[in-house]
Amino acid sequence: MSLVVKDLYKKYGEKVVVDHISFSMEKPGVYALLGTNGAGKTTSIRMTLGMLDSDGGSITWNGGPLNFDTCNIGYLAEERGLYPKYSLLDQIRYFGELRGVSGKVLDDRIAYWAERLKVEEYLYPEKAAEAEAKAEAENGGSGARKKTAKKKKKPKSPDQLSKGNQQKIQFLIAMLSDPELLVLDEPFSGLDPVNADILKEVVREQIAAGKYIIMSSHQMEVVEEFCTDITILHRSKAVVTGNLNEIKKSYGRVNLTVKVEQDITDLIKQEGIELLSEKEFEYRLKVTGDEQGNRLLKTLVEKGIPVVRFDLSELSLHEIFVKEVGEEASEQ
Amino acid sequence: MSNESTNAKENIYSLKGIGKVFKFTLSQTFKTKSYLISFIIFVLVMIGQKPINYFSARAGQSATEEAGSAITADTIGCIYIVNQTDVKFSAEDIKKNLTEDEQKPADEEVTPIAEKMVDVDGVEVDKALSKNDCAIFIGLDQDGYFVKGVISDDSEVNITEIDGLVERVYNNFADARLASAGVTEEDLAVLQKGIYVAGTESEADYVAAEESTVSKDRFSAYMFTFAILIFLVTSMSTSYVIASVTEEKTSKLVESLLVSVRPMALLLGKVLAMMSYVLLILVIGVIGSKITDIVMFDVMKLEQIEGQQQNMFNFGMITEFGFGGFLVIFFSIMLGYLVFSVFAGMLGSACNGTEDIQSATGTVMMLSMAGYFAAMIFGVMDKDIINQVFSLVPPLSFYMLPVCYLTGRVSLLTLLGSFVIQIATLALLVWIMARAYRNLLLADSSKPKLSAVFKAVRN
Repeated sequence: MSLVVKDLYKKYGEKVVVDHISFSMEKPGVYALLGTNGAGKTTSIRMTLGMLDSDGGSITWNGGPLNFDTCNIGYLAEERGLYPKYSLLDQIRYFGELRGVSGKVLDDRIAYWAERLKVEEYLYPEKAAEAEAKAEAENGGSGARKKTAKKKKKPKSPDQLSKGNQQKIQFLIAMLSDPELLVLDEPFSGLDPVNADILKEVVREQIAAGKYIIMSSHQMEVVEEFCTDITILHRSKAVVTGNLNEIKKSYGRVNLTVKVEQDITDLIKQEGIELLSEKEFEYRLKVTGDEQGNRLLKTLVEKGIPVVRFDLSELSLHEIFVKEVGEEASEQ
Repeated sequence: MSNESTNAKENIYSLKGIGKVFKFTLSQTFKTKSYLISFIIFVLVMIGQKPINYFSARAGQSATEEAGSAITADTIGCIYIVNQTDVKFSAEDIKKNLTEDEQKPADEEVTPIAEKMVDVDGVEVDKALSKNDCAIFIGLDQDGYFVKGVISDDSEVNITEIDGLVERVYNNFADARLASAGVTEEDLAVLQKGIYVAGTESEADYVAAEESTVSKDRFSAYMFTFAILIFLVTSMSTSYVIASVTEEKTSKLVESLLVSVRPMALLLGKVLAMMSYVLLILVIGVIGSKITDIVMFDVMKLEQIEGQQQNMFNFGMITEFGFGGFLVIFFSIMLGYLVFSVFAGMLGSACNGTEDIQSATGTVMMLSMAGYFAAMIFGVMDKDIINQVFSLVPPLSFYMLPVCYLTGRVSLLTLLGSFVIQIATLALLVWIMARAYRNLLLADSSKPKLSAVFKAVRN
C-alpha cells in the first residue's frame, strides 16, 4: 500500500492556499504535516481525504483514488465536536455505522476502546457505578455508593464532558472502523499528560500494527517521537520535506552540550563558538559542525580539563521548524 | 496523473449511507423533547381545528339568532305601532311572530310584549309619549321604506330594547311587504343575483368550465386549506432542516461526517427524516381530523354549518377527492417539501451562527409565505388564466396545482407538465447542492445568501 500526494494545489479566489505540495508514504509509519497557523495543513488534509476538491495535483492510494470507498479512513479532525444534546452512545454507534461497522462487532469495539481510553464511565455510567459500588463493598465499605448508583445512571451529554474527554470520545470514533489510514490533526492538544500518554500508547500500537498515520501537530517533541517523515509547510508551500533523519543530518550536528568542572568561557570564545547558555559549568553551545566541536574537545583534553559530558547532536525538529519558518512567521 | 483523473471516480451524487443518516436523524428527532412537544401540539391543533371552528361559528350563529329573537321590553310601558304605508301591516303581524317566551314570560310579574303593543294611525310624539313609552314608525320616503323608533326627550326606556324591537318590526314588515307583492324570498334571491357578460370562450374552455366540480367559494376554501397545509409543512420542516444542518456545522462535526458519508446523502438523509416527521404529523392530523368529523356529525349528529368558514382548516378535505386525489395532494406536498427543504439545507450549510440561522430561516419562510398569500388571493379570484399559469410556475405551483387540478380548473396535461417542471426544479437544486454543500459546510466565513451558494458551486 502507498499514499502519494503529488503537486497538490488549491486556491480560493486569487489566494493560493496550497501551492504544489507533494509527499508520499511508501510504507506504514507516521508522516507529519507541520506548519504555522494558516500554512495549509488542514486544507491539504481535507483534500487528501477527498473532503475538498483540489484545483490541481493528484492523490493516490495504491495507485487509485483515495476516498472512504477505497480506503478505510480514521480521522480525528482539528475542529472537533460532538452532537451536544444527543446521547454519547447513540452518536458513537451512528459514526460506527457510517463507517460500515455494526451490530455486535460495533458494540465490542466501542466497549474495547472505551476501556482503553478510560471513558467507560461516560458511556456506561450504570456499569461504572455498579463496579464502583462492588469494589467499595469488597473493600469493606458501607455500600452507601450502591444506593447512589441509581442516581448516577443517567449518562452525561457531550456538552457536560471536559474538552479532554470529548477529545478521547472523538478519538474512539476515529478508531471504530480499525482504519488502515489514520489521520490525526493535532491529536494531543488539550490533553493532560495522563491522557496524552494514553493516546501515545495507542498511536505506538497502531504503528506496530502497520497502520499509515498522517499527523499534524504543533508539539514538535511528540512529532519527533513518532514520525519518520515530515513536510513543513509555510505560506502554502512545502519548505522542508523528506525523511526526518536525513533532514536532520542535512543541517549537521551543531548542538553541543559540554559539562566540565571549571569555567571554560574564555576557551569557548577563543574557539569562536557561540555560547547559548551556562549553568554550573554546563555549557549549551552552537557549533558550525563536527569539526569545530571536535576541536573544542581536543583543546579541553590537551589542557587537562576533565570532561564530564560532551554531547554533539543534530538540530531538534523544533529548531529546524523555527529556522525554516520562525523568522517569517514572527514577522507576520 | 491529474487530480481530475484520480478524483473523477468519486461520485458526489452517491447516496451511500443515506439510510443511516435518515435513521439516526429520525430517532434523535423523536428523542428530543422540543420536537416531541411540537409533534403533539401540531397534531392536536390539526385535530382540534374543526371542532373549534364549528363551535365558535355555532356560538356566533346562536348569538345572532338570540339578538334577533329574544327581545325584551321590561323598561317600556306602551309600544305604539304607526304604519304610514300602503302595505297591510299591523301589531298583530308582530305579535303572531313572537316566540313563546316573549308571549308568555317566565316571570309572571312581567307584562308580555304583545300586551304592550297598540296600533295607532298617528301619534303626536311630544304629547302622547311618556318617559316609558315608545313609538315605532313605518313609513316611505324618497329612499324607500323605513322603520324608525321614537322615544320621549326624558325617556327612561333602554335603547337596546328599542333597537331589538325595531329590528323585529323591520323583519316582519319586510315579510309582509313581499307577501303583499306576491313575491317569495326565493324569488327575491333570484332577482337580486346580478347578470354579467362572460365574453367569448373556446369550446375547450367551455367544457373545462362545465366540468368544474366545485363552486368558487368551495375552491377558495380548498385553496386556503391546502395553502396552509403546504405552508405548515414547509415552514416547520425547513426551520428544522436549517437548525439541524447548522448544528452539525457549528458543533464541528462536519469533517468527521464527511469522511464517512457524501454531502448529498448527508443532507437528503436529514431532509427525508424531517419529511417523515412532518408526514407523520400530517397523517395523524388528517386521520384525526376525519375521525373528529365522523364523531361530530355521524355519532353526535351535530348540525352541519354551511359556508366557507367551515371548509377552512378542514384538513380532512384531503380525503374528499378519493384515492387518486389523495395521491395528487400527497405527491404535491412531497415535491414542495423537498424543494423547500433542499433549498433550506443549502442556506443552512452557509450559516455560521444564530444570526445566520435567523437570516436563512427568514429567507425560506418569506418565500413560503409569499406562496401562501398568493395562493389564498388567487383562490378567491379563481380566474382561469391565473389558475393555468401559476399551476405551472414554481414555487406557486406547489400551492395551487393540486387544488386547481382536483377542482377541474386545470387539465391532467397541466398537472403532469407541472409535476415535470417541479421535478426538474428539484433536480436542479439537488445538483447545486451536491456541488456546493461540502464547500459551504467547510467554509467558516460564508453567509446564507444565494451568492454564497453559487460561489461554492464554482469552487
